[in-house]
Amino acid sequence: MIRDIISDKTSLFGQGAHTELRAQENTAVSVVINNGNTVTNQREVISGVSARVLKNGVCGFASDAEYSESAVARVLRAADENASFLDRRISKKKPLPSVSERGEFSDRVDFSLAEQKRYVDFSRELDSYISDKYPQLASRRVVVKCDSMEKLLITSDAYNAHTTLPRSYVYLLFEVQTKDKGPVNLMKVLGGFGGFDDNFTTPDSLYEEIDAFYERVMQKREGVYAEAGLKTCILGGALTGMLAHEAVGHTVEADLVLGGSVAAHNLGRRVASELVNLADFAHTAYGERTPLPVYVDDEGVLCQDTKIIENGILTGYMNNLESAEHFNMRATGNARAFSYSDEPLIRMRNTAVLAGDSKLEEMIESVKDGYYLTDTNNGQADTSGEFMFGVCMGYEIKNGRLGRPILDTTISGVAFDMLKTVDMVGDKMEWLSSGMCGKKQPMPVGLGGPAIRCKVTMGGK
Amino acid sequence: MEIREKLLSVAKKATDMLVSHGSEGACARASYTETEEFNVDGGEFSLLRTVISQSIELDVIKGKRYATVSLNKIDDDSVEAAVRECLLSAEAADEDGHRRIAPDMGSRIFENGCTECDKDLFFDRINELCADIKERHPLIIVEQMIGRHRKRLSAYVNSSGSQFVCDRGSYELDLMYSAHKGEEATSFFSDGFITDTLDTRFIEMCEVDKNLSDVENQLGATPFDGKFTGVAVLTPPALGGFIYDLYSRFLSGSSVMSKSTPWLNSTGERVVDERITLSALPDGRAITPSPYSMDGYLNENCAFIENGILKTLAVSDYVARKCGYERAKSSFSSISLSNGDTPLADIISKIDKGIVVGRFSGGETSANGDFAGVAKNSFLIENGKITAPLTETMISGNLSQIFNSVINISSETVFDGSTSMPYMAVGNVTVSGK
Repeated sequence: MIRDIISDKTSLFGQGAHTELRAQENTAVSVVINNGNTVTNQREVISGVSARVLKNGVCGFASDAEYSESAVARVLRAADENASFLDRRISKKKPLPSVSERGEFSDRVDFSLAEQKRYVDFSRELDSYISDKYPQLASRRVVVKCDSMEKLLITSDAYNAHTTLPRSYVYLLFEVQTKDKGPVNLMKVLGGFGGFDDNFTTPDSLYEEIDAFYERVMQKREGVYAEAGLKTCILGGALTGMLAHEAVGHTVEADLVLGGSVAAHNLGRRVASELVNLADFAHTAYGERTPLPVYVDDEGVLCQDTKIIENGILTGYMNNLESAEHFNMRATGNARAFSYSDEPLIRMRNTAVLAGDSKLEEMIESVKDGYYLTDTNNGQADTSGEFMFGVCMGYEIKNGRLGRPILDTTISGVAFDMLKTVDMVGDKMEWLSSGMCGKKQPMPVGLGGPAIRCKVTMGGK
Repeated sequence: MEIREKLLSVAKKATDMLVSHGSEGACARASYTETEEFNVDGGEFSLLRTVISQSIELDVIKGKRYATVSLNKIDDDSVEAAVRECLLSAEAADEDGHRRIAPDMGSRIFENGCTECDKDLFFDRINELCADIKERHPLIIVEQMIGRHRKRLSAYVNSSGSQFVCDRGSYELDLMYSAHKGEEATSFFSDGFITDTLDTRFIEMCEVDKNLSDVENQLGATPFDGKFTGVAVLTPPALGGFIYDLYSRFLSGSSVMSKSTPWLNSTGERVVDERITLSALPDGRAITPSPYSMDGYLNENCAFIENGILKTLAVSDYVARKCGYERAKSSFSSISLSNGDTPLADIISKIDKGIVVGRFSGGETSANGDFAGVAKNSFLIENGKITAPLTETMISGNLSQIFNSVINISSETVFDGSTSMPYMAVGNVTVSGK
C-alpha cells in the first residue's frame, strides 16, 4: 500500500479554485514465452505525485516522480502557476463548476505483486503443456500480464478517496498453417479484475480451456473467406461490447461532443432501435461487480452509472465536472487518469449494451443466410460513428444453422445507422476487461453486451 | 551534481552492483525528462501541464538467465532494491545462452534538437495556429491539439564498458480535427510534426495547411457504389501505416521469433518492387533520432530493403543469435522510404480508376498479410482526375501483393521531423462500397 504523504496538505491549496492532489503507484508485470523462449521477463513500478488546479475555466497540472512531501508542495505550486499562465493570456473567466458531494471513500482492495518466479513458472508450465500436447501448432505464445493502479486522492471540494484497480491475465496465441491460405491465428484471454492469485490457482486448472481453445483454432484452419457486402449478422457479446465502446462510447464522451462528434446533434433523438439500451456502468451491473469497478473518479466525483441510450433514444453523455456544467448534465464520475503524471480525461469505465430477452439459439435459427461473429481482435471508430472492427472468429449461418467457420475479416458501418437495424437482443451478457483504451493516455476499461442481430457490412475477400 | 552526471553515476553504480552479485553481464538505462504541454480542446486552450519524470531500467544476465526491471526512482535505496528484484527475477527465468550484453562501444556523448523550451513563444505559435485555422479553414473544428516540448537526458552504461549520454529536446505538435457544415461532418484526421525551432508558423509546417484543405474537401462525401480492383494512391500518413504493418508482419524480431514472416529465408532476394528502398537513418535528418539501440549498439544508417532486395531483417542482437541472422545495424526508427521522380499530379493523371487513401482504419493485418478496412479521408480518381470525396468505402488487399504492384512513387516526400514518406500508387487493391 502506498504511503500517505498528501492527506495533511490541504492547507497548501489555493483559494477560489478546484484542486486535486493525487499520489499514485502503477505496477506492471509481463512474461512472454514465444515458442518456448522467454523473450520478456519484466516488472515495473511507477509512482509519484501530481496536482491539478482549475480556476477561471483553465487548468494547470504538474507532476513529479519524486515521492516526497517537498515534491507535493512543488507540484501544487507549479499547477497553480500553470493555471495562472493560461489565465493571464486567454482570460476565460468561467465560474467554478459545482461539485455535488464531499466525502471519504476507500475500496479496501488489498493487492501486492507476487515474486516474479510465480509468473514465470506458471507461464512455463502452460507452455510445456501446450508444446507437448499440440506439436501441430506452427507457433505458440503464452503471455502473463498483470497491472495495477493504486491512488490516493485529496480534493478541495469533492470526495477524497483511496482506490486500487488490479488486473491479471493469461493470453494464449496459437498459429497453425492452412493447406492453401497461409497461416491463421487466434488469441484467447483468461483472467480479469484482481491480483494473479485471485484469478489463477495452478496451471492445470486452465488445461480444459486450452484444449477447447485449440479445437477452435483447428476449426478456423478449415475456415473460408466471408462474402463481402451488407449481411444479416449475429454479433456475439464481445463484438457488441466493442461496438458499445468504440462506435458509440467515444462519440458521447463530452470532450469529443464539443469537438464535433456525431452525438452533438443527436441528443434526444432516436439513434437505435427501441430494443437498444446502452450505459457506462461504474462499479455494479446486474447486481454484481463490473469487470473493472470505478468508485470515485480523479476529480473526486462519486461514481454512478451513466445512461447513454434508453429504448433507442440518445439520452446522455459522459462528462467531467466542466462539461457537465456546459451541457447542464450531472457528472457521474468519468474523469480518469492513468498514471500519476496524467491529468483526468473523460473516459469510459464499463460500457455495455444491456441484455434483452432473446435466446442465442433462436437468434441463430432466425437467420437464413448470414454470419455469427464471435471474436474480435481490433476496433477503430470515428467521431462520426463510422466504425471498423477486426473479426478473427465467426461462422456462416445457413438456413438457421451454424455452418463453416470463417477466416479473418472486418465489419464496418455507421453506429447510429447500424443500431437502428437491431431487431433481436440476447439475454446473456459477455464482458471483456483485458484491453487498454487509447485516448492520449492508456486506460483499462471494461466493455460488454449480449448477442445482437443486425445488418452490417462485411469486408470479405 | 548536474543531472547528466547523476544519471551516469546511477547507471554505473547499478551496473556495478549487478555484476558484483555474480552476473555475466548487466546494463542500466537511466533517464530524466521535463515536459511542458499545452492542450487545446474544442478549439480553446484548456490545460498547461508540467511533468518531471525520471526512470531507470536494469537488464541482467546471470547464469544465462535474463531479466529486466524498471522503476521511476533513482535514489540509492530504490536502485538497490531494484537490483535485488532484478537478480531475483533472473533466477526465475529459463537458461538461454543467446543473451549477451553488447561489447564495449566506448564513451559517447550525443546532443540533438533543442533542450530549452521557450514557453511564451510556443504558446504564441499554438495560439496563432488556432487563429490561422479559423481564418483559412472556417469549416474545421479542432477536436484536440497538443503542443509538447520534451527535454530528455539519458545515460546508458553496460558491464562491457560502454557509456553513452544523450541530451535531446524537441517541440511536438499533434492535432485532430474534422470539418463541419450544419449537421454534416467528415471523418476526423490526425496530423502532427516534430521540430526544433519555432521560426515558422505552424500552419506552414509539413502538410498541415494542405491536409486541412483536404479534410474540408471531404464534406459532401458519399459511399462508393460498386466494387473494383485497381490502384490506391497512399498518402504519406496512410503509407506510413502500411509500412509499419510490413515491419510488424514481415521484418520484425517477433515475426522472426515466431517464424510467421514469409521472409525468413529471403535475405538477398527481391521481396518487393525494385523501386522500394526502406531505411533507418539515425544519422539523417531526424530531429531526435535514437543514437543507440535498446541492446546497447550504436545505431547506423541501414537499409532493410534496398531496390526491392531484402538486405536485413530488423532483428536485435538476441533474436539474431537465437535464430541465426545478422543483427540489424539500426533499430526500426527514423524511417525513410525513398522517393521516386514523378510528381504526384502526374501519377494521378495517368490513373483511370482508383482511390486516394488519406488514412486507413483497418483491422489487424492477418498473419498472411491480408488487410481490410475503411479508407478514411479518401477521394475517388476517375480518368486521371480526383472526382469525389468518399465515405463508408472499404479497401482490402495483401501487403506483399501491393508492395509488389507499385505503379509509381512520387518525387515529393513529407518529412515530419522523424520519418520521411513519399506518396505511392499501388495496384491490386480491392475497393468496395455499400
